[in-house]
Amino acid sequence: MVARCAICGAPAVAYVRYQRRHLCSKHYVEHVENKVRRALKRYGMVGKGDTILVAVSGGKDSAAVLGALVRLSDEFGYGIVALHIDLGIGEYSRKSREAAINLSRQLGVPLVIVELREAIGATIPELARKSKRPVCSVCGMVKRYVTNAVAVEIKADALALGHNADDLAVYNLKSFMNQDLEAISKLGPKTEGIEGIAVGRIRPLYEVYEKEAFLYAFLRGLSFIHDECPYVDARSIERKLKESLNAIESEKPGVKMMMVRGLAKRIRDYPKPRGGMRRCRICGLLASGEVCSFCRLTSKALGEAKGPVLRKYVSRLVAELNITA
Amino acid sequence: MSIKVKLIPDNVVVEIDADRIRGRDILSKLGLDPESAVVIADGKPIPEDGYVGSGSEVVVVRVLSGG
Repeated sequence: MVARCAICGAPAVAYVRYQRRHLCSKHYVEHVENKVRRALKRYGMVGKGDTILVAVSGGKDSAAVLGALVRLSDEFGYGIVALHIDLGIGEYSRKSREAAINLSRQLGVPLVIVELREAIGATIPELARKSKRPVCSVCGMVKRYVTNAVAVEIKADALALGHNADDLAVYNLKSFMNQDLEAISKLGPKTEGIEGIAVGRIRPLYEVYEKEAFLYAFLRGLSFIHDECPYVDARSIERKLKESLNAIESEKPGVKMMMVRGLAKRIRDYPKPRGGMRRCRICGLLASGEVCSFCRLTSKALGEAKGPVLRKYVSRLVAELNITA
Repeated sequence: MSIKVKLIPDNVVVEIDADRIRGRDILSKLGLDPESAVVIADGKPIPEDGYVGSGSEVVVVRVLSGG
């Protein structure tokens, strides 16, 4: 006795608890695409003629976000360019890069690859060691800087990230536990950019559960790796919060959905970080002080602020690849 | 009879003593929640109330990422 799809009666591949229905492969894929479509519309994420830069890590979320955005591109009239950053973290980075290349090829999307070692002469682990900062903190800052630099270079209208509902619900909770309200202000579906300095970010998977993102990528046969970064702390508070939240969701389906929708509605009530938005004195991109954190960190770690070097590398790369959305 | 279950991304194989077992119960034996993991039998995902027999190749994927 196998459960049947609520829409067409074909064998079900999943049970969507908060909708209390079973879905087959085809209708499950549509279910996730509908959620992405609704998020694009509800939160005004894209416009006709836009160029969207999609950050692709090689993992399931970026496979899902790129896959869904490609499917919806004709309907909304935007073009897509993908970006993969090779962080230089050994075998993990090698496999991630290969998955990103395969994914873009599958979907017919032009791919920009920024290899950190080639661009600035150091990998993430090296940068962390030399600057004596935690690896994950350095990595997050570098990824934000590089994705923005590429987005500005290709004059993208938006940078798409793969954060899913589970991620956002948990970042929200964790920040709230510390009363870091400024951090919560950055968790909205869409952020505004500043011409020439920063490109606004969108989160098309805002209302897609982590399990749904996985199943979507899997059912569509999209290329991605399961491996996690070796630096991930399996006992982190984020992981514990995700597990606890899912235990609650199992008993009270829809809790995560309510959390992210509620957050999107009230996002403007959260205080923005102090310091404002300025142009880095050295590289010209977004900074909260005189000098941006990327230029500050590389200065300290490598003896030279690498912002301008990175921007030049990106400019050459984009020109060579003849990147158009 | 037993059912071999491969756990990803941990890459370990666990043996479950059963002829037939529900997806939800496989997860429960592994200490996993249906919202955090997916059961894949012979290459196809199954809903948590779906059944797996002893002939099937079973993979359980933990979908939660770290941070």
